[in-house]
Amino acid sequence: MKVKHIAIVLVLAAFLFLHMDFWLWDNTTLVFGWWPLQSFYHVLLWVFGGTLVVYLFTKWGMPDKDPDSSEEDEK
Amino acid sequence: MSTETLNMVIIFGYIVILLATGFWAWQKSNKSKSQFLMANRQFGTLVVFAGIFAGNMSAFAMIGGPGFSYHNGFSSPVYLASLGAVAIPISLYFANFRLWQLGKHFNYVTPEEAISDRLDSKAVKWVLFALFMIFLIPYGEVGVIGGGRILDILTGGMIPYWAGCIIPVIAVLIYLAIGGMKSAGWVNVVHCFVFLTVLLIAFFVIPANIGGFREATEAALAVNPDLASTAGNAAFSPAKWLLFSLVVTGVSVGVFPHLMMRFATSASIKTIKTMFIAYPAALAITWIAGSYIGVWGAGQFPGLIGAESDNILPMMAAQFAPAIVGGLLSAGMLAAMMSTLDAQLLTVSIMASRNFSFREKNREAIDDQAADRKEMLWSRAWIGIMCVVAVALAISKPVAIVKLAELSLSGFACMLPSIIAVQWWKRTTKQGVLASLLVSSAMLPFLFFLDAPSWMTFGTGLPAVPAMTVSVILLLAVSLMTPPHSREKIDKWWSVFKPGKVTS
Repeated sequence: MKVKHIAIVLVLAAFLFLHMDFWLWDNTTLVFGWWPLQSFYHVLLWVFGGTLVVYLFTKWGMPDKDPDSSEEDEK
Repeated sequence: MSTETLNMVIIFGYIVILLATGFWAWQKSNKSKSQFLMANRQFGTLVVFAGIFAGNMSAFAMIGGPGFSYHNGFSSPVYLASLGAVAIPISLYFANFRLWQLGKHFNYVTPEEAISDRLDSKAVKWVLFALFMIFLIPYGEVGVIGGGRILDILTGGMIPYWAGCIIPVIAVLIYLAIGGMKSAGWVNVVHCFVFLTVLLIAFFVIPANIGGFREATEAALAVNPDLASTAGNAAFSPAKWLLFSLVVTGVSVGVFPHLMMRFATSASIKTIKTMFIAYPAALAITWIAGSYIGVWGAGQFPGLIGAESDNILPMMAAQFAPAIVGGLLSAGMLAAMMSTLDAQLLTVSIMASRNFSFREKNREAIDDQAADRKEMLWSRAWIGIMCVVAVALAISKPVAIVKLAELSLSGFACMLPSIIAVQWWKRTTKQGVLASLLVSSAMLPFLFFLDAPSWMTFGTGLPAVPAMTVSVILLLAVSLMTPPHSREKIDKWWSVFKPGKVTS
């Protein structure tokens, strides 16, 4: 297994660990006076963490180019 | 003009826009069979993203999700969908990327064609086809039923339930019959744009009319303080918190046949990578906007019981948004439902057409152009047949359909190991695939409907977890116990995966 494949597995494991948020289950703090902290945390993790993980997956886990593919996209 | 009349005008206006888009997309193509079935495998990022994302976002995200959140609070969208941000792109990659490469190379149209060719087994083809149909048709029916209810409610009964089932299906029938995949792809760009935009507008406008985000949240927490966190909510056990959005609404999506067909239309690897990167944010916007409005609804319409809360989104729009926003929201709900429905109808029609009516061997007797015309004709005929079936089932609402739909997502999760293994593990055999598919799928109804004890679901309460585990074990064990397939077939496939070593 290549180093970049091990790296993406570790990144995925970290993402799943952060999702388990057991340290926030009883927290009822409201961010900005209205947004429950646990939910706020997950929105950040979902949007920024999720996008970063998927970006790294496309960089490290997928081929760079495909010989059969055409670059003549419609849009 | 009353709100109901305005909603009806907006809904019909929206349908006209969809038909015009479908017609335009077909007119600008060369109208070939390849365009009709697979859009010539040349869709770019925008169309592929819209097709896959909108095909995945069913009415559940705009009806069931807000309804669930009304009772369970701000953590609901996280529980229902968040791990899908990562699980869906990765699952789509492992279940579809190599099929996409092979499809471009060997001109496979449906997943079962490719997989049965690799394993040299008609039994695998028919089992895959049957399972796709068994899990997909009831899942699609729930969308048609949802459409009927949405139109009935939003127009105050001016469009009764039965007509609400028929109208979206007729619209889908027309644009699919005009241009197949080509039209559906571009129509889904409209669907995707509409429901994302409308949800975002509603997310800001509705709480603003309550008094602000703070006031909307305070009102909800005054009714039920537990809506702020997951503490004490049995629905959010740690195992479910991890596995629901990872397995049921996450990895199972990779083998939704209607998304597999959409994936196969991608033009390039760049298209696929960009689509993956855009997925987490779009998923978050859809689920969070709809679900938060559902939670705020708990403060404004307290006391709704069970599925009564499924209508919370239109109820909130009617009370706290200008009529035009409510009308647009109705179009958005229709868009979410129709985008999934058109993908499903097109997929089952193409699969049925390829398996029952027009097989590649039919080409031998006639010239290519005549064969292409015949295949498009059969595909259009099957779209018509499937639309009639969809409407008939939705109007009669057999209990079995709704029950079957409940296990559809778990059923697709059970198919995932086999579909991935065929593409990534050379030692996969047809016996292993058949054992895995048949046994795990047969287990599901028992786990679902006979109240399986907790130990059988490993304490998760999710039947998909043990069924998927069994499907993996059987796939590995039976494949290793049976003779491997010929090197020739395996080498034919794997040569395509090596850059620079492609044979034509």
